[in-house]
Amino acid sequence: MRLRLIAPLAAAAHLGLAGGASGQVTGSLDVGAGTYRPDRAIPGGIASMAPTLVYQGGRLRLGATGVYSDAPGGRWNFQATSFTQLRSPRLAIFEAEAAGQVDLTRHFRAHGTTAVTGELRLYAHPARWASIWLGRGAGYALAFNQRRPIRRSQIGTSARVAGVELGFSLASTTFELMGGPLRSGDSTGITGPGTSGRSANMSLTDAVLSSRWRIAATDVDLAIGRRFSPTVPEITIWGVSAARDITPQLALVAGAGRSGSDPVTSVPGARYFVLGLRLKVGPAPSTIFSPAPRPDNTPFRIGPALPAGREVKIRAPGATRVELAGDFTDWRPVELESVEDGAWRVVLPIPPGMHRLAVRINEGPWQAPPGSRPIPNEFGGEVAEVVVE
Amino acid sequence: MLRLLTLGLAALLLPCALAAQDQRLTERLDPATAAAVGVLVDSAGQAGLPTEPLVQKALEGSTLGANGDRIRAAVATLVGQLGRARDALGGGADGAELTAAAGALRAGLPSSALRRLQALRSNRPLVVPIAVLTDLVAEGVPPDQATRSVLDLARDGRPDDEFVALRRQVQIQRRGARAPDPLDRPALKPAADPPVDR
Repeated sequence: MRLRLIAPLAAAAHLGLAGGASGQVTGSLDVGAGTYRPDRAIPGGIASMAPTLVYQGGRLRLGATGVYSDAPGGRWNFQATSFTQLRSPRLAIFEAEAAGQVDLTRHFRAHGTTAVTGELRLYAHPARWASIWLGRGAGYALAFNQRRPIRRSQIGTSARVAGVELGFSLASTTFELMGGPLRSGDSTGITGPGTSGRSANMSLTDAVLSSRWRIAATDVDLAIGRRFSPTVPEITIWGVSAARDITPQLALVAGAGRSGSDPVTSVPGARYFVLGLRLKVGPAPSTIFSPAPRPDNTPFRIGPALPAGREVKIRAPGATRVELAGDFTDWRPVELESVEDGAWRVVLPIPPGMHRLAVRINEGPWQAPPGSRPIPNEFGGEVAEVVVE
Repeated sequence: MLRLLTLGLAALLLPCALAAQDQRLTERLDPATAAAVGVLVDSAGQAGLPTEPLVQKALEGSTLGANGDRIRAAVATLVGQLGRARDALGGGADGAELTAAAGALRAGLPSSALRRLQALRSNRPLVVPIAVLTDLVAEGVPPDQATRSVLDLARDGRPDDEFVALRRQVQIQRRGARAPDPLDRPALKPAADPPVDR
């Protein structure tokens, strides 16, 4: 197995850029085997290894994910994606996001593709349980020493109904196609090298209905959609996957589906079924659930129990004084010390259990910590409630 | 005559009660409020209810700048909530569980949900499941649905970590829609063969 290290290196570079910021790195490694039937290649058994690494800090999210597959006959393939997402502060019901993505594909005895795309997205959250988003992006794919422009428009909506997250999206991708006319029966719209080199514009529109839910320690994702194009036959695309936790660090995963081609990376569509294990790495599950973090708020965290106590960390950029009070201090204000980049900390003995607390920044009113969900109290103010295990 | 006796007894006992009052109350509250809260705390203690949450409520009011009337009213309300929580969970519940249950009732959850949860947890701590249930409702999840989700975990004998994970899952879901994420792909979907393989 010749594992290419491009994606991990890209992730490391990203993480290096993010060094010093307060955030969390999580990762997983999926290892499995199954069957694979691509539209225009040899079907058969396949072994897969898929690492994923994600950094989340404030409004910034960086990540890299890849899939390395090994098929009989020494054929191997590698796909990797590294991405950067930066969200704006929320303004009323609106939120914006800038996203950049680099996709790499490398194959045994074949040229690969490198694609760079960027996208701006606008979200509207008219209700707590529903959102709408619009996206517009552009980029290029580089293959066979030729650069092909790509444009993408998306619109989508999602809602949470009876414990199930439902989503619907329409994504239209326009790209310059390399090669000659499409072959009969090809659902992908992707052609290989050695053809005429003539370019043609092509567009694909995917309408996809997706759902996601969790039941009895199992995360289930289900998506079904239809691909429309003026130049290639319509196809139905679908995918179902499930991940059941065996331990907090290990899960059994399974996936099956019929994917469409990816016009960005030139990867053909395929039918597949895979079964494997997911090893989760990185920080252990948080020992606290704090009220819902809002994307436009700085985080608040209570660390694990240490001999000296638990570290309470609050990000309050620009603050000159930060105080904390809660039932674990008998509601006596405790001053935090500034440590780095807008972060403030204090170490306190906080026993396990449910606690009420509030913070005061720059002698202002007592309030729920940034990033937590405020709970109005009987005194006309607000506090937060957290459970510390 | 009986009233006179009662008043006389109260007058005799009041100094003792004040002397036994929690020092934190006398230090942080004005004398009248401290005395009134002290009476509520004592009566709750005599009724077998946890008193520390009541003291904490008063201290919270003090720190947040509330006046004496509001502090007294808040403590009295909490006494009632703790009493209803004990009615729901029975005398075997500890102070932390009663405090969590009082929060659940305050959030609008029915006593029956707490009783069912307690029955399913059979002698295991209830604080985290109740807190998760309360938080889900506060997050906007309909009480019936939140109760069903938490009871499902309790029925399966899941540890506290999984209740916390449920809470986190809901957090993520309720952040609203995101555009398709690079990580949103079927689990282990294999990388493709090259399009030129044959």
